[in-house]
Amino acid sequence: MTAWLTRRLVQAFFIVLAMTAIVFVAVSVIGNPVDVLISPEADLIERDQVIKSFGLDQPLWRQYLNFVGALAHGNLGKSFVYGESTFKVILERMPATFELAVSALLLSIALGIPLGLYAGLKPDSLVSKAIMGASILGFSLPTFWVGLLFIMIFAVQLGWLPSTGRGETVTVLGVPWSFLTVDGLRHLVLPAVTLALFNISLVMRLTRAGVREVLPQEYIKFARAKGLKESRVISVHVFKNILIPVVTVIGLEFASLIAFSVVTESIFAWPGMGKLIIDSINKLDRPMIVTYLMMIVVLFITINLVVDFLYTVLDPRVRIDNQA
Amino acid sequence: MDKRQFMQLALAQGALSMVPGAAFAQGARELRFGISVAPTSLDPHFHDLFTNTQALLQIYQPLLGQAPNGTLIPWLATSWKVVDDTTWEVKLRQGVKFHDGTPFEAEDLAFTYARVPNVPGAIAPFTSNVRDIKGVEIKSPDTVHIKLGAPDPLFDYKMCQVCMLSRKVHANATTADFNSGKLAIGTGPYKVAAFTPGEKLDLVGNPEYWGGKPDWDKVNAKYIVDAGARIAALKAGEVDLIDAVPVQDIASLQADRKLAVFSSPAFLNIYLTLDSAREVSPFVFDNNGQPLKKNPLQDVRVRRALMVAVDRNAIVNRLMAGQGTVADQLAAVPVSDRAPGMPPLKQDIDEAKRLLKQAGYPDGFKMTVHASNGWFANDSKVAQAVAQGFSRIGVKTDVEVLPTAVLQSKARGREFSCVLTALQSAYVLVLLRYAAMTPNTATGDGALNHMHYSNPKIDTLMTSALKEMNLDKRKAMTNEAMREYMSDAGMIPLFNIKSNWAGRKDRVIYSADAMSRTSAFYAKPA
Repeated sequence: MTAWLTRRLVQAFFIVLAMTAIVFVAVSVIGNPVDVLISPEADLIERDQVIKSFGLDQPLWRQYLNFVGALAHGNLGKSFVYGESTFKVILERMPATFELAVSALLLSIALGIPLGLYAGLKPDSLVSKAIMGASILGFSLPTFWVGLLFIMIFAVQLGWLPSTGRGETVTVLGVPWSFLTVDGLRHLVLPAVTLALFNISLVMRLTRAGVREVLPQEYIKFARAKGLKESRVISVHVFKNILIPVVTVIGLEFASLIAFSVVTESIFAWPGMGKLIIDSINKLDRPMIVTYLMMIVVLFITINLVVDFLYTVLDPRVRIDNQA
Repeated sequence: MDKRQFMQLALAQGALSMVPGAAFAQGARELRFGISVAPTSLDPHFHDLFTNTQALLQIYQPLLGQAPNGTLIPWLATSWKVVDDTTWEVKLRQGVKFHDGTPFEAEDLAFTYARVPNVPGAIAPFTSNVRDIKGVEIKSPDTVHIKLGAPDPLFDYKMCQVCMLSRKVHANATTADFNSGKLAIGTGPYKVAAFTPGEKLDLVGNPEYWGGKPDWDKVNAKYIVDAGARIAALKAGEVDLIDAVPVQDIASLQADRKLAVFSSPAFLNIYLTLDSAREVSPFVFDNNGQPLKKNPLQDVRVRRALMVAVDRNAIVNRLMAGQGTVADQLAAVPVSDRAPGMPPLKQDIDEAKRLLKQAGYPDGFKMTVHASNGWFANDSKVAQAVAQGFSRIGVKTDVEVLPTAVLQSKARGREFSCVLTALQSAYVLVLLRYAAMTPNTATGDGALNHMHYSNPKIDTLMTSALKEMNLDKRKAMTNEAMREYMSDAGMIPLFNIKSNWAGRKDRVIYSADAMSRTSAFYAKPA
């Protein structure tokens, strides 16, 4: 167990290091951030001074070594655009994205699993067919289109829900949260549903497929033969056995929801990290891009670890040591 | 009433009470903006960037302000005049107070000018506006003399760039202190209520403002990057006014009874730069696609041919849906010192072909125009239209579109032959200094002349103009320099953009200005 964890952490360390090197090279290939950021009315003297003060006059390998050196001291650097610690700027945006991703995740579990179960248990009913048909739409419609459609219907035509921004927030533990206020919740509905749509469909289809696979198994027949109530057969014998693939997918999808919610965020002007990273890429704010991607890599690795632990809980036959 | 009907009724009633804006407090004049780009900081000396300045000038103020047409107006200075070539006398407005009650005093000038070049981490500081200041002499509490190292006819313009801070309030202030709102204290008509970077900026009216009570009690700006989302927010009544309306949406917004579109010619110039300085240019080929040994763009006749090959009317009227004006020089219509009497640029295919033949290219050549995607409205489509015009006279032109960041970096590295570019300024003196003068690291001239275009006549005229304190003499020099720039086809001007805003008729009237700033200054309650 310890050996397995150590090995995973060492792997993670090298992945992060490789990623930083790639970002450094990639950003320098794209262009010089000074050209993008400096005022058009700044003159050449000023430009040279800025380049020097940001260390951009040095060769790339030296810039990279400086970065790694600072990183070893726990310093991720300052954003070119905001002039503040990149970590701080990202942390300010994180609650918004986190809130959106968790809402979307909860929606996809709360809707996806029951609907999938229903469709799996009664595959021939008309409702099941309708659910499965709708899931194809959920899969294939692009997020930006669905988002704008929702805005046009629910915000512009009907005027039921607000279309932009985060709404009122309440500060708990020094972090502003919007899901604790009515106004905040109303602002959350449209972006969360838009973001969740794909995942609801995904979870639904996975659940249905799992149920179809498990139902004909001997142990289900045996459980029924024992005279167990149908509800117990489904909630214990069927449900537990379909969860492994569902948990894997939900875990990975949660990480993607956090990392790649950028389209939804920009349509709904949701002030999260996704918008930040796009702005940073456009402005070649290298320290920002590096920090963001490092955090995302760490996030994916952590979630994978959690998913692996969950396996052992769900299926006693799975032993972590065996996977190593 | 069955259950379903009841639910529908309940939903409908719930919906009514939830209509945004319905619960609006009457009486309090509140302006809600949907703005495309957020300021990166509330530190007025941190980032010399248009989108920062438009927000910050509501909070802080320089000595001079700019009227909607770009002319300078008294703000914290009541008058200003040139005493000798290097001394400016400025009379300060008395009784001005910062938001916390601290008075604005003559000593604050020297403090502000010392802070500007020393803001840690600033990637685009305002240093060039204060570099030449040798000292500030306080003659009396309301009169100061600003001493410069060299004559500078643009110094009044520079005074209108730098916002004043207080030596008492802002000593040792860091950029973080401004961003947190703690020291975001200026002399302007609006005070900071809340700021979340990239999300919103909430302001409240400053009743003590020296210019009288501001028009709005509250100004709330939401930052909405996506144009479709901005329009949706306006239609849904969540905001009263949006900026950067895409040209293709103007007509549908104008058709909406509740909405009004406000537009104004902007200072932004759209033009093509040409690689005319080098023997060999990287994206000019012969008709078989082989690199040309001699760069045809060096020949003024070729450049003039390209100048008249473009159908600017079609670009402005069709591509830009009328949201622009055809250029006759590298300066927009509202620019006060633009050269008078310039002939309008018309498409003339025969003349272009004749010029090409004269230059020794009867069958034309091949060229690539490089353009950005998203720098300004429709940029990549404009490049296509330009290429069509060039191709009609036999210069077979391809278009390569790059992300703006890549284009700007590579343009500076002289990697192209012809680039579609945008440049904004309220003064010909500034435009020519950056775009037309030979690049010079020591003086800072030609900073945006990436093609290294060099014309001794323009350099001589501009070097004198940049030292000439007499407005009429200076104008005569810049007029001549602009005529020379045009007749030498040092670049190819295309058009000037109109900026657009859209707002709710019942809430706001926007007197759009040539600076294209989105600010509560220009918004009046309807």
